[in-house]
Amino acid sequence: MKEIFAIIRNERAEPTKDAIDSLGVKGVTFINVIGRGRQGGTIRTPDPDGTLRREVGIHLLHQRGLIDNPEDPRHHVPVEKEFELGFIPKKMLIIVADDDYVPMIVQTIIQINRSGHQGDGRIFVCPIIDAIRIRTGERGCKALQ
Amino acid sequence: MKLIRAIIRPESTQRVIEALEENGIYAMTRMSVTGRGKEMGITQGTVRYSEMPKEMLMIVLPDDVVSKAVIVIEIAARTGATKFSTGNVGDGKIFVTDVDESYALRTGEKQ
Repeated sequence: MKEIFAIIRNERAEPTKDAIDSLGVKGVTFINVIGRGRQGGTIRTPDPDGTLRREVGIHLLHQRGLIDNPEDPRHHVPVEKEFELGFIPKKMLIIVADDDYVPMIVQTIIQINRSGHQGDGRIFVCPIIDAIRIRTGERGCKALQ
Repeated sequence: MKLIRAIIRPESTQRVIEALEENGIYAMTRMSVTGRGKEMGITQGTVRYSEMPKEMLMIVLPDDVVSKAVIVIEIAARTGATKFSTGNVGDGKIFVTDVDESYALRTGEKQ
């Protein structure tokens, strides 16, 4: 038995739930958490306002005859802006599953949640020793079915 | 890889996070939990508080950094300790468990 912790974006929680349901895995726990990754909660994005400011600046320089061609791509380098976000709200899924199901569940979560941008989240797979269904007292893999 | 779960006082969270940052550990997940220890909550006059609010930090780290991180959390989360006395009841606990696999969702790669 393994315990799968998946930390995902809030808006991907519903699609992930549906996908996991269609695999036949019914038991999922959702927790609202806040977290941050290796970047320490900072993201770098293109700054459209910065580009605009730079373009206005280029035209002023052109008017004053300091640069020849304002259309020169060398003057239009996209500006990056760094945001300090701190801890970001995320959803944490906890799924306990039989060893055979784990690769399938992991692949499904990756497929649904992968956008290729920072902040997609992470999956951790941890070993679990025992599981007990409180209603009947069943133990081990029987408790998961 | 190991998963560290630290249950600490909400008011010492910021101090613990800053101490971890100083040691180059930024990635973590936080959640608010309630719980009690072996003292079964606290009693104030005739009122019994059976559960106290705490903050849980979850940090996954490579094996060689784990012992350092545990010491850093331990020292930062301990309140009012001096050379001759320990901290206070309710400072929290740290649990360390194994992690078999870890995946980054951005790339889908195993790490």
